[in-house]
Amino acid sequence: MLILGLLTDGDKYGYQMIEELDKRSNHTFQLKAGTLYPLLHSLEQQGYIEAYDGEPEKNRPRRYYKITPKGYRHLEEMKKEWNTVSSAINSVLGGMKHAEQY
Amino acid sequence: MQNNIEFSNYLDIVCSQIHFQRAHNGLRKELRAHLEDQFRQYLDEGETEDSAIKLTIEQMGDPIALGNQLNDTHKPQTEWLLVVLTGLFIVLGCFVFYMIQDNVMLENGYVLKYIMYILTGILVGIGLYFFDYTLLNRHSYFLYFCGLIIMLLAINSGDKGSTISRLDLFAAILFVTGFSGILEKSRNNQKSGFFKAYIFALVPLIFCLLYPRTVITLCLFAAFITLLFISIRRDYFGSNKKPMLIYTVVNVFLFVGYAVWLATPKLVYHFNKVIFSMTEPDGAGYVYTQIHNLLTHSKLFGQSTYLANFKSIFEILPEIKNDHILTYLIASFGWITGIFILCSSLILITRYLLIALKIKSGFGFNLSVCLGVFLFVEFIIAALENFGLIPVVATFGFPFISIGGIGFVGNSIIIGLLLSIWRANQIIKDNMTSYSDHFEFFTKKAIKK
Repeated sequence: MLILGLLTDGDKYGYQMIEELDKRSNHTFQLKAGTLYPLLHSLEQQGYIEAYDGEPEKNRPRRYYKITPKGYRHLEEMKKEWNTVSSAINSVLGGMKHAEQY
Repeated sequence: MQNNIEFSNYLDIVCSQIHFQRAHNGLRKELRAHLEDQFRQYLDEGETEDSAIKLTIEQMGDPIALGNQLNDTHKPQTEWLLVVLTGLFIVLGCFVFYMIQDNVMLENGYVLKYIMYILTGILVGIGLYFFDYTLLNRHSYFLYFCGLIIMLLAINSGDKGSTISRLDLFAAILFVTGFSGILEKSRNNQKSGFFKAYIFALVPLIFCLLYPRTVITLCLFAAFITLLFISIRRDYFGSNKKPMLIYTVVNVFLFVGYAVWLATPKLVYHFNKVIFSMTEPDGAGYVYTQIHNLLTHSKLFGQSTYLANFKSIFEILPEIKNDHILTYLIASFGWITGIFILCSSLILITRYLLIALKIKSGFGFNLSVCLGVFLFVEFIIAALENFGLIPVVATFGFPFISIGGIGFVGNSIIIGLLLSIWRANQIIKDNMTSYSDHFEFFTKKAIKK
């Protein structure tokens, strides 16, 4: 879900994604490269993202990923689920906190 | 440099877990780029080279685990339905051949020739399956001109039934292979790309028209038109689609008009034969009358009652085994065979085209669509012929069942190429806007970013 979210505002390559994720989550999510690439390739296989070779920078070829329409739909679904789960958790905890006051 | 060796060793271990060899190159490049970025990052942070290397590799994690995970998503895939159906058709074809062979054929070495063609076809098909088809993409112009030369040879031979003349099927396959690559290269070149693709499509069509080769012309025409329309629709030549679509449609009409005008004398002649076969049952309309008789008296199972009056079907139509295999089968064994073959062929072709749509490689997609269209056109023409609706054109009959040897090899190439392209579908994805599902293909609206 997070990877798809990262791609909604622009295509990225692997290393870039790890940095972005780290930055935006305030170092909460520090994805290991060894986890990222199988994930990327799996998402690609399922059709949620697409890869293409971008312009090589300083002689280094860059494989960019972009989200597909199917990926967008999947992301929206997952966001909905997340919202449902997180608000459910919040109401349970909120309820408990309420009770704890007494 | 030390990091090069260390990283190469690391990548070697990763790749050792990935069985599909062709996936290694792409993965190596991508992972290596990452390793080097990470390495530079550590150096910038003040690490020594040695420790930077260590940290980078640590960041990547266990190479064997990584390799295993990547192996799961980079597997070759085989479309078993196609393989099974093809096998079925080949067996059926051999069975038919066995039923119709006679001493004359044995003496003329015809049986041997047939067996040779079958073996060649099967070997070629299997060979192509393991072949790296991307090699074809690198030699597009060469293949295209090879097609031109073979086409000229075939046309030059004059006689429509000879072996050399039937090489035009191979010429057509070479044309679409070359064209698929040229189309890929013309992408994103807007108008100039469009016209370039256009010219390359037009040339073989003009050749085919000038020296009429009906089936190949139809195959090429259908394939090129399909591909051009799909390419325009996918914004290959820019998003200003209307003028290009209009231009293409106009040209289609012009081409068809011209072709029909050229063929009119022949068309009228044959049209008369078919429609008025009843008035000239023993003359020009003989073949059609007999086919009509055979089929209208055919049963679901078993021999056509019309044959009760004759010793063998070859009395009525001596050439039936060459020209009207399906009619022969229906008349000799019943409609069940005809229905079975027609349905299986349709399933094969539909499946072929559906798979083609899922191909992620641009070149692979272009080529599979063209070849799928070939199969479709062949099928339609063969079906129409066998029901006596059109005269026999220099055709290749039903895929695999008809006993034309060259046609068999040609069709083996078509199937083999698709299986090869599909096999590498998880690996080869080049700059292709793919459609995640078939429905999208017809309703795709570009997501505005």
